[in-house]
Amino acid sequence: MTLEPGTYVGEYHWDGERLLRWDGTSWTVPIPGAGPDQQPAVDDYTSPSEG
Amino acid sequence: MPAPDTGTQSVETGLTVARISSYDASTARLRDVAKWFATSTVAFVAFLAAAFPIAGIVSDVGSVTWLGVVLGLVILVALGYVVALAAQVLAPQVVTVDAVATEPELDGLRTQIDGAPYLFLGLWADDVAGFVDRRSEVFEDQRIVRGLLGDPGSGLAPEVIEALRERLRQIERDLSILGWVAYRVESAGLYALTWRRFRRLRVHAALAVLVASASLVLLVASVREGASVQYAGSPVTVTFLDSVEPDPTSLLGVDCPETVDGELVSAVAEPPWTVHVDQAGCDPVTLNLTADQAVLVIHDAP
Repeated sequence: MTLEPGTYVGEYHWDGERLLRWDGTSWTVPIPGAGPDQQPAVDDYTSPSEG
Repeated sequence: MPAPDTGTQSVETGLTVARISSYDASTARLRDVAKWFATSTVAFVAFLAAAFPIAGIVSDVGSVTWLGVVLGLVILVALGYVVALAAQVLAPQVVTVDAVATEPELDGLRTQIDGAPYLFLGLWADDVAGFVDRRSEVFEDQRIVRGLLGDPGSGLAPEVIEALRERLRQIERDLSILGWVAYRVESAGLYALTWRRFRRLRVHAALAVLVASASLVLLVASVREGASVQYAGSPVTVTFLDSVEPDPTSLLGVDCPETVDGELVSAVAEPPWTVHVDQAGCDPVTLNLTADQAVLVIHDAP
């Protein structure tokens, strides 16, 4: 599955199952609370050419 | 989406409130101590001043020297400085998280936070600058999500809108806790600032008391030195200047010479003089003379 890179940091995208958030380099899954506020998406959305 | 762990969040908020209360209470206590400290310092110097009968000595001498004035001013400035420093401790101040992250005055607190960031920041960041960034990012996130939800032309599917609404609820919960953590850091910052100023008050007040006490002793010594040179009772010879009209000797009796002997009544050698005339042939009067009326020769007391 490929996804175009986001256009700005903090951009949201719905992949059909969940919200993803662009952190500047990759699409991540935002998580609430203290600690890291995001985790890398399981799928590699950062390199469309490799998808 | 994982379910929000509200239990953990309320524990963290509760601990934060406890810590804030502790800092606020300490800051208030420190301010009370500063009030007591400044009052005691000023009272101590006031006690010293009252112990020396300066006013009586000065009034006996009849004059105040420049040295005395300068020393008196030094005492007042030293005490005023103590009051100003105490006012800095007592004055309320707004301390922001950004100030804790950058102000040189709060270096000590920053080092403390860097040593154990979880005590102050929980797991939100590893240092204050990181916390400021994290909070800004969450605010920005809130702005973006609200923008998406508020845009009528976005054409979002219902499940996307629901997911964004849930995300907004998460963000706002996070902001609420971030607000408490920020309050904790600000409270610690205010305490650190108050403590730093109190330490300065303590050291500088000790120095100010030393300076004021030394000035007080010097003031008393200088006044006593002036008081020790007493001319009252010294025999004097008065020669009236020709320009004085009417001729003073004509008022003192027909047999009174132009130069008359007498006794100095005033205490100092400088004019104006008060002289009691005891010259044979003159009326025994007391004269008040200025430098443009007569020349006065003071003889050594017998």
